[in-house]
Formats: sequence, structure tokens, C-alpha cells
Amino acid sequence: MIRFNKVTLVYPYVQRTIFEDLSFEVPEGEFVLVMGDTGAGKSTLLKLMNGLVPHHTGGIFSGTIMVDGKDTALHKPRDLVDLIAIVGQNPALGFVTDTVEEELVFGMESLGVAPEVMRKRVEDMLDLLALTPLRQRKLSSLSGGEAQRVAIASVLTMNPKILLLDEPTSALDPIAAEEVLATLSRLVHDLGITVVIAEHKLERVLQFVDRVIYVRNEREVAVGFPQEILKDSTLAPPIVHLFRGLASEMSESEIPLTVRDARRQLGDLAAWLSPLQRHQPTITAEPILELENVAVNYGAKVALKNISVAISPGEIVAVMGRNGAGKSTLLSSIAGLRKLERGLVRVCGVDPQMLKGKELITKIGFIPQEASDLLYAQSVEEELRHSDNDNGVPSGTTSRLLARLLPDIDADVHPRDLSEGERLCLVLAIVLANNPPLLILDEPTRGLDYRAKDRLIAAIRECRDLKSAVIVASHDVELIAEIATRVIVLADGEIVADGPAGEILTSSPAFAPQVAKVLAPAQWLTVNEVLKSIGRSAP
Amino acid sequence: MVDVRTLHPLAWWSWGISLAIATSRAGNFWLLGGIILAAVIVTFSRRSDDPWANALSIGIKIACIALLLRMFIAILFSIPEQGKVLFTIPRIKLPQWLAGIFLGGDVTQERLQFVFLESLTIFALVVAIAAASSLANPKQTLRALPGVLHEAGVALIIATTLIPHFVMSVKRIRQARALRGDVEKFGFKKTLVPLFEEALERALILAESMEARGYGHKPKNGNPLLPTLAMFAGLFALLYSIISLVIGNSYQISLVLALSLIMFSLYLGNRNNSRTKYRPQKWGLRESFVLLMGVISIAFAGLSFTLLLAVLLFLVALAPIFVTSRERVLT
Amino acid sequence: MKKERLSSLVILLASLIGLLAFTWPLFISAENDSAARWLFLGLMPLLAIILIVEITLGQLDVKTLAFLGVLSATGAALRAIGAGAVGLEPIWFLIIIGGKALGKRFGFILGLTTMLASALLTGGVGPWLAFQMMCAAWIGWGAGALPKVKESIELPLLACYGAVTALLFGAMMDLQLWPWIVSPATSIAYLPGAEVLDNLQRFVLFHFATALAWDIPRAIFNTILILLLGRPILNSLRRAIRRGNVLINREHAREQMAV
Repeated sequence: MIRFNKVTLVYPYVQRTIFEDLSFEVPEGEFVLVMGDTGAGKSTLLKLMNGLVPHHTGGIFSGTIMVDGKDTALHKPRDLVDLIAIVGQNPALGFVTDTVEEELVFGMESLGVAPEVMRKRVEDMLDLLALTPLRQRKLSSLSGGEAQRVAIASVLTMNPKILLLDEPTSALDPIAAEEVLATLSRLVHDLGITVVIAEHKLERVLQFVDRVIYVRNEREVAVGFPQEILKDSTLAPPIVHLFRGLASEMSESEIPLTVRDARRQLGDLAAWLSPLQRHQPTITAEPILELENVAVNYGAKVALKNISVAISPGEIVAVMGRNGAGKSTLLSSIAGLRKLERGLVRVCGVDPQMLKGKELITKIGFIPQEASDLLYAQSVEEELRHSDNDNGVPSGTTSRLLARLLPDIDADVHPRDLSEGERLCLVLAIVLANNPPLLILDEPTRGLDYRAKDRLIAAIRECRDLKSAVIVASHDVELIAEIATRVIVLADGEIVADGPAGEILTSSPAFAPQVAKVLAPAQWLTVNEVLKSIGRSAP
Repeated sequence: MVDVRTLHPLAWWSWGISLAIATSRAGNFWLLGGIILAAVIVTFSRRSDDPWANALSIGIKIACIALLLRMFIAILFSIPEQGKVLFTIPRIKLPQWLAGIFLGGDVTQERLQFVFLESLTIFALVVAIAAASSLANPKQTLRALPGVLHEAGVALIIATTLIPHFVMSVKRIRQARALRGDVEKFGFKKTLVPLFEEALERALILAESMEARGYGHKPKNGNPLLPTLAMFAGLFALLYSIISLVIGNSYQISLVLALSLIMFSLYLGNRNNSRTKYRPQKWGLRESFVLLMGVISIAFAGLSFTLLLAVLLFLVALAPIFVTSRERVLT
Repeated sequence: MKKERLSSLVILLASLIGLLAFTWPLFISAENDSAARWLFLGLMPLLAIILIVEITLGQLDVKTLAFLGVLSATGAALRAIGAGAVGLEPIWFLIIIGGKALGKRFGFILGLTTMLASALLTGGVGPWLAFQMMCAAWIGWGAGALPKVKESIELPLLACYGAVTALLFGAMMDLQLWPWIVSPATSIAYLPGAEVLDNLQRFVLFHFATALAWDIPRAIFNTILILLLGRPILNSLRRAIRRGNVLINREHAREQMAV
């Protein structure tokens, strides 16, 4: 269906080879996963398939890419829409109009499809993707999962044979992600569409895919069945790591890709493991943060109600819940950004709304969802200078911090040209320069690969060791399993669960990490824990 | 998508523009008053809660300022003339080089009446246009535009869709500023630079998404040069006509010729367009009724004044209220 | 190419007529005075439509269109949040910088659409709108037509341009308002059939009497904004444009690989 032949791509302005001499083929009618490190060029590979690269983004290109017999170098993406379609990383940013129905017809109108045909296809798509109740909704009011489904429908109206998706679940909570993936799987099975997705949350997608394209580096791409590829890939979901760690104990050699397979193969492991011993840090110090009966409204809508929490130094608290459950509101209320309807917030004994400027940043370090909002300078170096200034610390402090998080960074680079992970490190360095006793992170792992995530985890742990309290809101179950000491679950603006990470994470099916699912009812959370308990080192 | 109760946006515009033309012909206090009153009643009883629905309130404010300013200038700089003197403003001596310009002096009743009536015409003009723009949903207007304006229409649709997003972004960025310990009140640089970066990134993503959905896909049809050629000829004729007008010659024939050429060019451009429209809003009976009433109001405004005419004009201008109900906002 | 040149001529012609629509009171004959008033008021929106059609029809690629939409939205959003009080509107900054970075043709259409979008959304639609659009278009075009200079004097040049155009814009808008706001029988109204110079003197007096209080702050504001923000925003725009360069050349790719 898609054939790459000796494809080479160079971006002239960054002086970097993206791909060199790539040749491979994607068969028809399959669910294909593209995996690889963030910088490895997964998105670029997808865009090469439909010609957006280089027709749209620029770059120097050689070789041939044939899609269903058509050479993409000779056809613009706009002329291939009835063959190959793409949904971008953040579909909400690609919406042109403002209601669901108008968005669905945007492409067809440009193509000049006859009105009766359009009408019919819109109805078909609304049914196929279960969007009928949303047809008149404003696009800005959709949740992440709904927006993703609308984006898929808006390209499917043009009847493509191939659908490309760039990280379709990265911004979604686990439940919405499941819905989107199930929809995609249906497209493959019922309509025979070839679906190619790039994704780094492997634990979510592997159970659906038929084939994997593994981008190892710029000249090496492996294509194969998931079992073959994952046998020795450095990237792997927790169950695969667990399986590899225990490989010698296993008689079977087939790698389990789903929780069900893993339970079959490793089910009795839980009994065989020595009983779980996780030491819960004993909290002695006075709480840094106290919330008493907090309620926040947006107009008539209740965003938070009856929130009472106390958090002490040394705790790493994860805030979880579906999109719209009130996580971001809670975090911003803690930072004093929201007007409270009722209740009290105290950070180090002070109302955060009273804190301004330097007083605020010496008490609270806040990394918002759009971390780059904090950046405005023209180069990394300038940004670091501003930070030393703003924080009132000796010059060079922020820069030293950054060097620890990210050893080899070019100080002349424009902050916007950094990768998502590098940018987060920069923002972290700026926020941590003052060593605030309370660190708050809102969805920090969007777009981070495993390596960047490891750096983030190290930084958070270091903060904890310095007796700071850390609050993280995230959908990333595996990250939370790794670091959190305590988990708070929000639903509809209320706390529905609050307790030690082991207990809360294993008790809820939506928020349980893979290891917990495999070894339930024992409360194991991460591969490391399991392996350590039997005296093995982590893979 | 289209609320059955709302009028076609171009019908609202036809109504507003008709009233505007009517005001230019109505040289009478009562006729103008009728038009203004009708426009205000229709708008305030039929507009939605969308931001653009405020246009009339803003328009009325602007019109009031214009009216007052105009009266003020007329009183202050009036040229002495015959009539019943109401009051006198002390004369101010102006320097030699401003000879011929008067400041202050007698203010007559005739003069005030005349100026007020003239000002009221402008007031009514502003109100009529503002009323239409309060009532016609700009997004639906853009969708209803003929194909020649499609590309600009898409740019404007993008713009109007993004504006609320950017207003949110500005708030979010300002919050982020506060979180970084910034106490500057305005901080233009620290707000606008991230906003711009975000906007530009968004532009690239949008362009990609549009490209990937076939935007700009066009089969070649028609002669692309012909519409431009016709437009050139039309504008040339228009320029000729205007110059005749300015120097005081007759201009009517060339004007008609110019406008027909321009319309012909727009028609050709429209025919070259291959896009289709999904469920276009229908131009129904109600719309035709509103258009007809607009034309009638223009005709009435040119007649000589009687009280009956004023009442009739008021009712005709009020026409849309009888065939519509309040505009609803999409949620 | 030929089409491009012809459409440039059309734009020039339309702009010329637009200019007359501003300046007619200065030299109008006594016979057609009131006809001119209404005719120009009606012609101006038509001219704006003609300009939009002529620039956009089939000549705007997707990227330009997206830039146009997004920049217009930014301008209008800045206006909507009241970043500018009386006359202190960052919208001019945006049009000037956009025109400078993306060229005169883009500047022209950016002026048109930014004004239109912000008026549609904030309810500023009125008879004056088409006049504002035309002025904004000229200002955007002019910014793109400024000569290329060394980077060190690029900003001062733009700042001067910003100040001058702010004053000019004020004067043009006053000129457009003149026949409407000043009652004929006053000593600062235009006199149909009078000498151009005489009318000009009357206009200058009207202009100084009413609007100078707005124009000078606007000019100062433009200058400050350009000096303060011009560099980073120009850089952002240029970076964004650069990312869209296309090169499909097999030989060239090989060479690049060899280097």
C-alpha cells in the first residue's frame, strides 16, 4: 500500500539528516503502529507518507514514496485526500470552522462534492463514529476524545483508503484513549481502511495493532509483527519489560502484548513473589499546603466543591481524574489563581492569593500545561539570565540547574526550537531555581519520550529529597505509578479517593498501571518493584 | 445547523442597507425618527447573546457622539446668517492667516433645526448599519457569501473562530506571567511574544490540516484572465465617471457602465469556482418579504411628508419583527 | 505572470478610486456635491470587496491564507481584550510588522481582513468600516514596500513609519468624516467648488480642532510598540516563514548529503 524506496530527507535550516536511504513497505488493510523515540521522526515519517513533508513543511527530499501506485513527489497532499488522510497531533488546533457539522464538510466543500453526496456521507460518518449527539456542538466545547473523533470523521468523509494519526491518544485520559483506539480498530476491521498511528504510550495501543514500524534511528527502520519487534526493542511497555526481566523463569517464549496474555503466562507469579513491602514515608512535618472546604465556580458551573486536603513536605501527590474533572482548577486554586467561592487555601500558612511576584515564586513553583507560556526570550541563554534576575539568585544558578537536567543544550537556540522534553527541562530549571517548598506540575508528560520522562522523574525525586512537596496532575498512569506516594482522584469537582498510591491505583480499573493489572490482586505497581523484590536489577 | 427561526443573514443585511438608503432620502424629522425607532425595536427584540449582537449598542454610542460633536462644531464655527437669534457666543479673534474662519457668534433657531436634522440623518445611517450587523451572524454571513469571496471568507472564518481562543490564550499567558513572579502590570513583551509564537505555530498546523483535507484543490476551468480584464475595464470606467462627477459633468451613464462591468467580472469569477456548499441556508418567503419591505421603505422615504406616511414607513421598517423570533445561540 | 501584473493594475486603480473617495471634498464641484457624498459612501464597500476578490481569488496558497486568518485573529483579539484604550490599538503594530515580514501584497490584504474581522466580532461595523479597511491596507502595503535595510536600522525605520502612518491614518479618517460631521454652513466645512488650497486650509483647521488629541498618542504608542516588540515578533514571523520552504530536488539532496 505504501512503499518507501531509498528515501532521504534533510532539513536545510537545522542541518540535520532526518532519514537516510529508508526502504520499507506497509501492507494494505492493517492496523500499523509507528514507534520510536520522540526525536526519531515518527511524525515526519507519517507526513512523508501523505506528502505533507516535503510539499508543505519544506526540506530536501530524495527517493520515491509510492502510495497505492501514486508517487507523492508528483502529487500534492491536497490531491491525494481521497487516498490518504492524516489527523495531526493536536486535532483541536487544526479545526478550521466552529461547529462539528461544518468541520465534517470542510474538505468535501473544497473538493466540490455534490450536496446530496455530502449530506449522505456526513450522516454516515456521524453514525460510524458515534457523533450524532454532537453534530451541532461548538468545536471548542468538545472534550479531547470527542475532538479526536471529529477530526477522524472530518477526513474520513473524503473516503480515503489510508488513515494516518499522529499520537491520537497522548492528550487523552485512559478511558477516552480506549474509545478512540476501539473506533480505529473498527475502521480497520469493518471498512478495510489501513490505519497507521504514531504513538509512544505503547501500553495503550499494542493490543490493537497488527504490525509495527520501529524507527530505530535515521537509517534503520524495522517492520514486523509486534512480537518480533518487541522481542528486543529498547522501547517496550511495562508488561514486556516485566516479561523480559523474568524471561528465565518462563517456559514459553512468546512475548505477551495484552494484559490477558500476560496474566495467563505470569498469573501465578503473584503468589510466587515475596510479599509486597513498600515503605510509606512517615509524615512528621507540618503540612505545607492546606485546603479547607474549597469550592470554585465558573459562572453557574461548579468546578470544585468540598475539597479538603493537607500535603506535607516529602510527599509526591498525584491528582488524577477524567478530563474536566477539575484537576487544572484545583492546581490553579492552590497557586492562588482562582477566586474561591468558599473555603481556605494556605501555602506555608499564607493565602496564595496574597502572594505576588518574588514572594510567590519563593513559595510555589508552578509548571502550567502549556509550559512554554513561561518563555518569552529569544534564546535559551537570555531566558536563563531573565530567570536568575526574576528569582533573585546569583547569576548562573538556573544555568547550572539546567545543565544537570539536560547536559548538552545549545544556549543560543530559540526556546521554541527545542523539543518538547527539552523545553520542559528549561522551564523546570527556571521554576526550581528558587527551590520552592511546593512544586506543582500540570500534565508534564505530554509529548515526552521515555528518556525525557526519566529525567523528569529524577528531577521530581530530587525535589522531594530536598523536603519539598510535589503535586502532579497527569493521565500518565505509568509515570504516577513510578513516582507518586499518594494519589487523589477527582470526579465532578469532588475528591472521590485519597490515599497511598499502591492502594488507589490498584483499586481502580481505569487508573491501574499494567503491572498492577497483571499481578492483581497484589498491589505491585512497577516493573522495578517486582524485579527488585526477587533480587534482579531493572532492565 | 441552521436555526429555522433565524433569517438568512443576507436578508438582515438587505434590510439594514435599505434602511440606510432610505435615511439618505428622508429629509424629515418624523420619517427619520420612524426608521431609527423601528431599527432599534427590531434589533433589541431579535438579537442573540453573541458578542457581535452588541454592535447596535456601540453604534448608538458612536452615533450620539457624532451627533453631539456635529452640533457642537456647527454652533461654534457657524457662519453668521439671518434668523431668530437664540443665544450668542462671544466672538474669538483668530490670527490673520486664518481669515475667513469664524469662531463663536450668534446662534439662530433655523440654523439649529437644520443642523439637527442633518445630524439625525447620520445618526439613522449609523444605526441602520449597526442594527444589521447586530442581527446577522457574521459566520453565517461568511458562509452565505458567493464563491468569489470564498477564500477571504475562509480567512475570516479562521479569524473569527480563533479570536475567542486567543483572548483565552492572553489570559492564560498573563497567569503564567504571574506564576513566574512577574508583577509588571502590562508586560506587553512578555504577553505578546508567547501569544505570537502560539499564533504562528497554530497557523502552520492549520495550513497543514487544510492542505491535508483538500483545500485549494481546484480543477482548472474558465479563463482566469477574463474576470480580471473585465474588472480592469470596469474600474477604468468608474474612474472616468468619478472624475466627471468631481468636475461637475454628467456621470450617470459611465457609472452604470462601470458597475455592470464590475458585476460581470464578479459573476465570471464566481462561475470559475468549483466549490460546493453543504446545506446552504435557504432564501425563503420570509427573506423575500423582508427584502421587499426594504425596497418599499426606500420608495416611501422619498415621498413628501404626511403623518400617515411616517406611520407606514415605521411599520414597513419594522417588518422583520413579524416574521422572526429571537436569535438563538448555538451551545 | 501576466495575470499577476493585470491584477496589480486593478488593485492600483481601485486604490486610486479609494483615494478619491477620501479626498473628494477638497475639489468637488458645486453641482454634484450631494450626489458625491452618497455615491462615495456606497462605492467604498464595493471597492473593498473588489480588492479582496482581486487579491485572494486563486492566488492565495494555503499557508498564506492560514497566516492571514491567524494574524487577523490576533489583531482582533488584542483589540477585544482592550489592550488599547482610546486609539491605542496594537492592531497597527500587527499590520505593519506583518506587512514587513511577509511582503506588500500580504500586508495589503492583512490590513483589509484584520480591520474587517475585528469590526465583525467587536461590533464596529458602520459606514466608516470600508474607509478604515482601505487605510489599513495601504499601511500594510507600505510596510512591505519599505526598502530592505541593515538590521540595525530596520527597527528605527519601522518605528518612524509607524509614527508617520498613525498621523496619516488620523488625517485620512478625519477627511472621510469631514463631510459628515461638519455641517455645511460652518467655517470649517468644505466649500463645494472652492479652491483646493482654501478647502485644505479649512480641513487642516478641522483636523487640528478635533482629532489631534488621538493621533499623537497613537503615533507614540505605535513607535514604542515597534521598538519594544518589533525584533522578537519579526524574528518569530521569519522563523515561521522559513519553516515552509519547499525544495524537492533529488540532485540537491545528494549534494547536501555529501556535505
